[in-house]
Amino acid sequence: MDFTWTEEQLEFKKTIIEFAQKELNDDLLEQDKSSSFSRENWLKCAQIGIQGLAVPEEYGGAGADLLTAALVMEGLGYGCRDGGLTFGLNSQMWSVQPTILDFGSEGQKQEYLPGLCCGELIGAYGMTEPDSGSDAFSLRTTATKKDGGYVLNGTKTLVTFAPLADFAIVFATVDPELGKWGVSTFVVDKDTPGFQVSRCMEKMGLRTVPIGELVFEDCFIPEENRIGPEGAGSSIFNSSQEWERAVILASHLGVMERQLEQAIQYANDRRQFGQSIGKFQAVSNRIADMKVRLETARLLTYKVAWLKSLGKSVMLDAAIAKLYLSECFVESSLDVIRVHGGYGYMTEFEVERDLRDAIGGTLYGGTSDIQRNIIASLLGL
Amino acid sequence: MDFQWSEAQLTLRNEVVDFARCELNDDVITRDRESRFSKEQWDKCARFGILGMCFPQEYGGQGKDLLTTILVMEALGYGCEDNGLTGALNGQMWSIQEPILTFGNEAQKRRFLPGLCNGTLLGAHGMTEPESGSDAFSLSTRADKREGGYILNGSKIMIGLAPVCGVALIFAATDPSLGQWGISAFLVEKGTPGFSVSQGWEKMGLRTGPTGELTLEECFVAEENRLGPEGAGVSIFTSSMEWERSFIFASHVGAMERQLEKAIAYAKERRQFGQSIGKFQSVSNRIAEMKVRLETARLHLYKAAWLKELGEPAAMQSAVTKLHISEAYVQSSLDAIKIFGGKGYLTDTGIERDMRDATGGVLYTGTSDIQRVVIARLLGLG
Repeated sequence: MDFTWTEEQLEFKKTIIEFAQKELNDDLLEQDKSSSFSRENWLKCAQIGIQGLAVPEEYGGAGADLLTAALVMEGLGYGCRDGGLTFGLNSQMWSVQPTILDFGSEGQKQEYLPGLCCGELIGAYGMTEPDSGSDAFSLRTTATKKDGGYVLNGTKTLVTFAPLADFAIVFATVDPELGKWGVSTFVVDKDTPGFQVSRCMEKMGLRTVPIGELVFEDCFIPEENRIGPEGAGSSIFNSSQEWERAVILASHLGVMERQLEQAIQYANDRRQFGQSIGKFQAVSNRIADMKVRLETARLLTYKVAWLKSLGKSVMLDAAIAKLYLSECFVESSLDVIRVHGGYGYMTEFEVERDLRDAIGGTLYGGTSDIQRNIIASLLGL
Repeated sequence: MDFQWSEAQLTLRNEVVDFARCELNDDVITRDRESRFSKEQWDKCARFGILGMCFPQEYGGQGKDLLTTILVMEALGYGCEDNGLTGALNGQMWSIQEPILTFGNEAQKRRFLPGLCNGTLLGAHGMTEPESGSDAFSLSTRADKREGGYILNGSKIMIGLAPVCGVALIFAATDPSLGQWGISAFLVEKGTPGFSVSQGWEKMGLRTGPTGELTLEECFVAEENRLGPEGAGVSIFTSSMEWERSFIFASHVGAMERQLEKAIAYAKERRQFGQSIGKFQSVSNRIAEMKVRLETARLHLYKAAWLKELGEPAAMQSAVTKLHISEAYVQSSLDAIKIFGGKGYLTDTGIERDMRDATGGVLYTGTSDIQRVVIARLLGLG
């Protein structure tokens, strides 16, 4: 048992914090208000190596181990105040990229990974449909076998990056009678005839990353665009969900640390009733609880990253970490607003945005309800 | 970053679980009802090496590292259903033995530690007074200097193991004008004229570990029984609180695992509305939250042990650990009762006792309120 980080790991984290503070925090109020995505910031992140952190060097990545990657993403969340951008990065890094890396053919890896790592390509991950969310494998998108390929029909919704993705990983059934065992995975390029993307859907938070629909109407894709064998969709989805749950929220740790510092500073500066509000236990207790949650969330995240880096199955630990981290980020975001009082509620003070961003975390990657279901089922219930 | 236990550590853990299950669980319900401390079981634990686990061999201990010790104490709490016993063992180890090891001179270590480790000597930590609890350093027990020693006068209450102790660590003011810097610590032995102990006080839970009062009336304590220099009381108390807050709940973490397993087994076996109650999400979600609390409690405990093993400052981590685990244990105990329904409320099922035991944890070694005060202060507030 050893909780030490190496000097190199800490140095790497520091570099990313400085980069993020310097390069990624301009115009956030405006970007959030207008729901605009910054390709420029996306490319800056790619240049410093974020997207490729955990991708092997032969495919354009940095080949970092998962613990280092988690620590670096924590640093990114601490330095970068754009919760939409960090979400977008994490989303691609822990759902699209592992899917290709773990299940793609050599050709698919060569075709997509280097572009994803260098920022030229952006990938979307299409699972959710209008009528299938938590019950993911009840999807209706069909992939009908045709000469040399498949014809896709269906709609995917709430898909991150859908409006501007260069390609999408899409789950569809080749045989609805087989249930989840008929689900297969495909990669569909942007310009494929019959494939359309919607405009950006307006949402509560995470506005700097576009979310939308993918629509397939008699969309033919060649067989070489299938990822893994026919029927492997549920394994692929479960595996990528494990990745997502394990590490997608690492950046939240950094945000919660930033919130804590913000809350402490404000509580010390702000005076009411003749003293700093931090001297009132109603305020200081709230901040103490923020600290406890942050440290707890950290330990869960590092443990799951450690387990995953050893190649162990982390279904249970990832569900625990995802549930705890996402819920405590909401709680922490609400607490920091409370500490700031009315000012915290004003958009201009850049406190309230975190809460809007945080609420998404209890929904994507499997809702908190679903995480509890997973934990319970893995406990034998 | 490495969360691995060694094979040797895990083997020892399993031995402790087996020992606790075979030797410590007889008559727990009866002993709880009668508020009866079992010296026999205390001695079994001592013989197994529990009390001396992380203490140097030269003083009668096992010389294990802290992480191994914590794993052992967790295993003890998992195997042993008598939380009063495990609480008392932890109390003595972290609040008596550790201060003697850290601040005692060679003679004091040789005089007290072997007996504490082998079970022949029981120790009590005497800080709390009728008028000073959370505001510990406002104590009014006095130690007036006399030739060759001190005359102690005062009363200490809510002291774990007080009724059966052979030695008590007493905090008293040698110079009240200095406030907290005038507090000193003394090792007062049973049989010292003027030193008396009360009977056990009846309490909600942790009944198998007796709690009571220590009274000092014109009690002469020789100078060689002073622990550390005059005025070192604050440092000794603060240090012992850091140990206690870090580890006193190690066994509770094991108890939470035991609760979780019982809850799962019952939720699977109990059928209502034509199915196992564990299939209802109201029940399974509750169990999922128990699991989350258990795993988070564990990680805090291990991190505290790692920090202390390295000799790093652990004031923040110990307060976080104490607050998180003690509150988690209360919540987990309540959840276990809810899952068992009315049966969980019945004493004979052995479920409700955990809840009574757990409630003590949010109070002793500094209440949850005080832990938040400590955390806030360390964050620079107030």
